[in-house]
Amino acid sequence: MPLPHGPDPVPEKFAACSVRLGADPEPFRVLDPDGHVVGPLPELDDATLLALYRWMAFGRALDGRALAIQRQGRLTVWAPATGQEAALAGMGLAMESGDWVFTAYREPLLLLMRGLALEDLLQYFRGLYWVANPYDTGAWPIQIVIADQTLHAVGAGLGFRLQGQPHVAVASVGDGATSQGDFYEAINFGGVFGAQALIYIQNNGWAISTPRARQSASQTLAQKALAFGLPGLLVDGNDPLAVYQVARHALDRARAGEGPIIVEALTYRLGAHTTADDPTRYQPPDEIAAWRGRDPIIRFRRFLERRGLWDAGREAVLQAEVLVEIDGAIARAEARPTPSFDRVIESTWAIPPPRLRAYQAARHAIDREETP
Amino acid sequence: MAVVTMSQALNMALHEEMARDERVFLIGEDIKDSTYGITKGLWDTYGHKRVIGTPISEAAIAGAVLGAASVGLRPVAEFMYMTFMMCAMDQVVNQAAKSKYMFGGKAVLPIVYRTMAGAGRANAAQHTQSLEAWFAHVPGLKIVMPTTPYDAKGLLKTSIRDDNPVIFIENKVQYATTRGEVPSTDYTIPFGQAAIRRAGTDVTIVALQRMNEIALEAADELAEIGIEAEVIDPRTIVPLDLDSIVKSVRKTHRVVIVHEAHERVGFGAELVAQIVQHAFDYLDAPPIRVANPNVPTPFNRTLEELSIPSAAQVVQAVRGLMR
Ligand SMILES: Cc1ncc(C[n+]2csc(CCOP(=O)(O)OP(=O)(O)O)c2C)c(N)n1
Ligand SMILES: [Mg+2]
Repeated sequence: MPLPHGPDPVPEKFAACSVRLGADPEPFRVLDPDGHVVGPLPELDDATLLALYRWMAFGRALDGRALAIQRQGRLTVWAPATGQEAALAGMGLAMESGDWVFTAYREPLLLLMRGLALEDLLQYFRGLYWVANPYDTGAWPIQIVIADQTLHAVGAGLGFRLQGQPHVAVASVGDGATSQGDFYEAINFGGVFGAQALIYIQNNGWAISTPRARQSASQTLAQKALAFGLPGLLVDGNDPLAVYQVARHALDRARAGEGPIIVEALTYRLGAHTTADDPTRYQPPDEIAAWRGRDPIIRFRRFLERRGLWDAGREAVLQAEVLVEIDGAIARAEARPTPSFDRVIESTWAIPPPRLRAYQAARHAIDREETP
Repeated sequence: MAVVTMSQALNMALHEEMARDERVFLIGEDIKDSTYGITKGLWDTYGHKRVIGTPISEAAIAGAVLGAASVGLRPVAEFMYMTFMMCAMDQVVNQAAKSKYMFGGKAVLPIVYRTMAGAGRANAAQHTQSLEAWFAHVPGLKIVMPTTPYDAKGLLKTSIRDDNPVIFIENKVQYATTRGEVPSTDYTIPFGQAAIRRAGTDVTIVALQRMNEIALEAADELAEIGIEAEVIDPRTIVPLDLDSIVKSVRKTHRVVIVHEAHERVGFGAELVAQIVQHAFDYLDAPPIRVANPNVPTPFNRTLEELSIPSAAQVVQAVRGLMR
């Protein structure tokens, strides 16, 4: 039976994970939860496999350190991605230099893989403006207003197409974001304009305290693609090799000007929504336990161990290394001074309006008076 | 009378109104267990038919309550942060505000849009805006901004019983830090009645919500140097109790307006225009606004503090007028 979308059906490899009317898609999977190979392996050399694992371990360690220093008041807030490392790192690896990524707030790992410096990211979460220049890396500042960035990515993907540039813009959103009108308007634009974009949904089961089932009555989120004439692919989001391959396909297709694919990665938020949240109020313990059994890092490590690429000794060295790296970045971020209020004005306005200059002067006068 | 927080007072109002009228229901994102405890216990008492958690869809919430209200219910919709109401502006401004008029007055739309605004919790620019003036600009919306727990309870009850769309704005810093005596009895506070929080003769300070607390601090400091400020809390900005404000200005001859919203085209601008029109001959100095200096609210605590009006700034503004 021909697929309902487009002239170019997805490759045979992805047929079973492609959403269709009247069929239950099977998420694309390469590794089972124990790291056994159950699907087609990507062509990645050992060094790349190890680099992928390192990024995942780095993400997990970063969450641990960030939560600890947030508790000490050294970061304003942190949204851990614990449990979603494969979904993030698989995508990060598949993207190419020149591609852009528009994320929400739970994707530091993806941004770092695209070239954002950790100290710049940490400085942002210390409450300063976005220090890094997004034009250097294509790692766009994080988005707080749910789903808005879907439109930005589709627009960037349209921009790449209109300018004949071989880049792709990735919109990274959560399951909750698929309930917003902006999300649907974005994918509709993407289809109509053949935007060089990829719509990436990390379905982590929850949107703060709202479970996936209360977000949409549709069986999958990927199937929303069908109504817009796009392909939708479902992938095991805790399998980095599966995410990498699906992402690669969607990026290649968009790059070739054949339009966006919606990719839904099935994963789970093992941590709190953010440091301001207490998930024990609503996440069922047995659900958490089941997903702990599908931990993406353990899965990938077992695969590497079986291939003779990894062992306990290397793991210990890696853990020590990433902590040194993270703590170095924390120290550098904390050594940067808080900018003056003038900087706030200057980053809002290319040329500050005269009234603001007067305000600055008045403020300085009060500061002087208050200083004993 | 029990001393309660702002959150508890709001929670009391919701409990009492839901018990009083079974047409009242709550709808919003993560509302079963909202962060600041405003809806605490309501789901347990009234169940999922009257405390409805939604997908993340502000436009849908704003528009769906219009439909629900038109068939006889009395919805109280919650928007986590005022800035997310921007996703629902079409429904609020083009639909809810205009439907009654466009149906020749026949539509009954008892909708409350509850939301939270204000700075001071390091929530960054997209979480921290006070946009009351946007709504005040639109005919057909009432705008309530309580300052004390007592008023919050009474005004929320009035809002729920009102047959027009009401924008009910809460201040997120005040939830936990502002306490006051609140009776457990049923009472309402009429819209359009300002409260004189402090009587004075030398200058009128009109201030909203947390800025009213700042104004009272400033008034204490001013008293030490012999300046007696009269501090007024409008409580609702649509309808506005202009009479009380004008009366005060005619007595003191000077006025300072304090709000967290951006100065430019903020509520203060409207108030200045009204005061100039109605008390021009009584003014000894130009009206002054103390407000956010037209910058996005900084994420960093230190910088954020500098963007919020302070008691020192209010004192300075008043002293400038007294010269
Ligand atoms: C427009 C808008 N509405 C509400 C919120 C409050 N909010 C912040 S995160 C969140 C849940 C998002 O869930 P999801 O898209 O699944 O992403 P996840 O947090 O699971 O990564 C909500 C409702 C917001 N930031 N923006
Ligand atoms: Mg989610």
